[in-house]
Amino acid sequence: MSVRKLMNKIRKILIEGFRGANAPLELKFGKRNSSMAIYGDNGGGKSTITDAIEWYFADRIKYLWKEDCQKDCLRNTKFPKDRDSIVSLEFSNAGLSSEKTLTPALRGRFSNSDDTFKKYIKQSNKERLFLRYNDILRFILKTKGEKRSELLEIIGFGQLDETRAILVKSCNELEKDSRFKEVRNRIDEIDSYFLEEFGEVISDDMTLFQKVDELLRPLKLENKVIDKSSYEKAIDELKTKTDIEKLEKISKLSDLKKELNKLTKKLEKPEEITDFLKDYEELIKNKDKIKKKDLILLLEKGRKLIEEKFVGVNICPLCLNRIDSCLVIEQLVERINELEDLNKELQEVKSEKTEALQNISAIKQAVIKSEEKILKDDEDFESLSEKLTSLKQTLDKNHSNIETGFSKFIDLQIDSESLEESFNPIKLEVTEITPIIDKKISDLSGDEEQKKRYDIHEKITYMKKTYDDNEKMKKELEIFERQYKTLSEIKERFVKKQAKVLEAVLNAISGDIDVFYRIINPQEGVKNIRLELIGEDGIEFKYVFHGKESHPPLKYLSESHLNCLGICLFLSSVKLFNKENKFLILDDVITSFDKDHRMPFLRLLQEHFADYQILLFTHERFWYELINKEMKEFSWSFNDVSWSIGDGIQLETSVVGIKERIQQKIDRGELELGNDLRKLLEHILKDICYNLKAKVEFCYNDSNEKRMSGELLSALRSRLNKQKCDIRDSSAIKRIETTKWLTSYTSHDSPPLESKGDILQVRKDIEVFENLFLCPECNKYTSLEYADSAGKKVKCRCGNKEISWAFA
Amino acid sequence: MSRQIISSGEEVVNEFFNEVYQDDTLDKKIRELLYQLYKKGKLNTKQIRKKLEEQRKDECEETHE
Repeated sequence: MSVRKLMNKIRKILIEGFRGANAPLELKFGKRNSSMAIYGDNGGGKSTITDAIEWYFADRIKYLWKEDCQKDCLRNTKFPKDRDSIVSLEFSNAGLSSEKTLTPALRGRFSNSDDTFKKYIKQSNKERLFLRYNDILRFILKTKGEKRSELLEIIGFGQLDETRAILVKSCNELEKDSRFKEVRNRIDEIDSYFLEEFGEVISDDMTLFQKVDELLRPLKLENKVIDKSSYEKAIDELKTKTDIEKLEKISKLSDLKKELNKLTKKLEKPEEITDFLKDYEELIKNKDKIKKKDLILLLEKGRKLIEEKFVGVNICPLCLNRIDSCLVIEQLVERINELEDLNKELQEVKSEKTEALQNISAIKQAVIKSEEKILKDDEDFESLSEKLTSLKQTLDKNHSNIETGFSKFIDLQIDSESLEESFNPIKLEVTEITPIIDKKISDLSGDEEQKKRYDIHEKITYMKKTYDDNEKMKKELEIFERQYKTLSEIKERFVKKQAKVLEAVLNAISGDIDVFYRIINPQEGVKNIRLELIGEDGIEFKYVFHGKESHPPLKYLSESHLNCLGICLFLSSVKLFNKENKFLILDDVITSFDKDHRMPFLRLLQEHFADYQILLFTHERFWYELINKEMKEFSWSFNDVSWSIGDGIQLETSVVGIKERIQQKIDRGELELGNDLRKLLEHILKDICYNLKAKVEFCYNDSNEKRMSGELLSALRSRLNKQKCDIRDSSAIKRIETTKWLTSYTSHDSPPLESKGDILQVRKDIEVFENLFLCPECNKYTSLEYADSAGKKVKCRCGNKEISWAFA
Repeated sequence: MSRQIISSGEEVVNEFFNEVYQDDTLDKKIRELLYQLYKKGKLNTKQIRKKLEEQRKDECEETHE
């Protein structure tokens, strides 16, 4: 029976002396490893928790490492310089719990040295555990090539791309191997020679010796050639009847003739060089286009800086003017894609350049070989020598011009027609010198009998040497071709396998993204969102937008919808690829969501991530309270964090869920409830004042949130008096004055409320006071939103609760 | 939503070279060469080039001896 592996959840986090945390910050998740929402103001240190977890697993914090501050910024600046900073994680799987310390010398070390733990850290490092606000759009705004690379990295398929690149490169290298090409050309040359001289290609020993025997037959030698041994005997016999010195001269002249013949053939194919020259001329016609090539780095960097909001939101990092980031990024991506295409074109011409240079070198080699065969001190060859030297110089100059000019993308100073013309003098010279060489050979050969013998000896020797060469070449070619065929087959199989597994992954991930996106954005015009392979090197989001197939996302989706897509991608990746951990952190990612999409997002978490432990951070109070209402029945816990210079980030008792916590403390017999009761009263007063529009003094931002109950109660009473509300003189309101004083007194370093009786009374007073305004049916306060001016009443949402209200 | 098992990149590459190694339709010397390089963690362009060259040289010499 297979045992399903239990994935890991967090039981406790302890952070001390790390980033924003100076004094110990402890987050406990209980035995149920429950999910947690954390509220904190901007700059309140929430991200310290994400930073700590990232560093714990990855030994770095990616966004800080990019900014080049790295380890220097890990330790809290107020933390004692001689103590180790601590990030400690306790997990549901106790064997994987560990403390990680950061020494003053910035060395990180785990207390758990178990091999299982090391494997766990390695695997966790590949998983998608957290999403920060700044990272949501990063993937979506990348080019299709970058998307492919990043996705492969996310899903641990980076090794596939590396292997594919190795196989593709090895195959290309083998195909373009200069020796491979040389061998093929040489075999073609030899076959042509055999066909021309003997009317057929000599491809086996039997044919060779048969041809040799035929050549020797007119000389009526004693030895008949049928195999290697008889061949050697016949050649020895021929040599004894021949003048060797003359023979060598003749041999050299014959070689010269053949080398010149080869050279001429190479010169007959100038297109192997001029094709490159023409394509290059075409490419540099638009010099601006070439210059733009270098812009790709700048555009890439610019795009990244805008994405990272390096100098601020919607601000250009170069000119510091305000810009529409999404639009600019879209334009940048288009330009980058265009430049990538240009780069491909350049690579093709570069490859042609390599071939052209190889051809020039091959011609030069043929020139050098011809020079070696020229008879010394023979003035008949002076002109040939000069022309060969001149051609060699021209070739050297062209080689150098191509190398230098190409590297600077300037004119190569080589005209295709002039290049072809520069080959003409040597071709003409070869035509003229060939009959002279023939005559010299003829003169050296002496009488007809000798001449015949020299010719035959020469022909046989050359034929045998060529045949031996050919056999070697053919064997080498066969090996080359076998290697190339097998390597290509393996490469093709790998490419297909990679595409198949990648497609399977994309299908799986796309299914989730589409479902998640449509839960958050119901009844909107975007459907069938999926990630698809684009060619061999790209991946892109595609979708149906109001019935029309579209891509990329930037084309039609708003920033809020793009963010939503980014979150859906992250959540899909979590489901599909996380194998060790069943927790995830969403660090202030909902900020850019439209309010309409927040509730559906919580429903998505309830429906599809109920078995996950989620840490959700936010700096929006309203959103935080909404999470409480929606998620508390799913055993979520709630914590506020705040930051002070002395202690750094610290937990505060959250007002969210405070009634339940007070009851739990009372049940446990705890008497330190002054602070909780004060917070509860403030919270209730805020809600009542808000609903009845009780006026208080204007305060900016956070100060508005931190009003004391005295100020709020005074504003409420004033409002009730003004509107002649019938409950303005109720005893519950009068009693709350005492309660306000008592909770305030006991919550500021004073002795606690002394008895359980006192505590219960205070809580009851608050409850009675709240019930003056709160409807037990709909659980909503009476609000001016439901004012009944004709009936002079202010009601709750369902209308069951009402208070009198004298409208002006 | 049905969930499927996604193999890791390492698993896919492992499986691929094992398949190649056992495939008799492919040239034995090349599949062995690639398999050995992969197993030794030396599968890179430079090593493949070097090993192929050695293989050509050895085979050519064997033939001409």
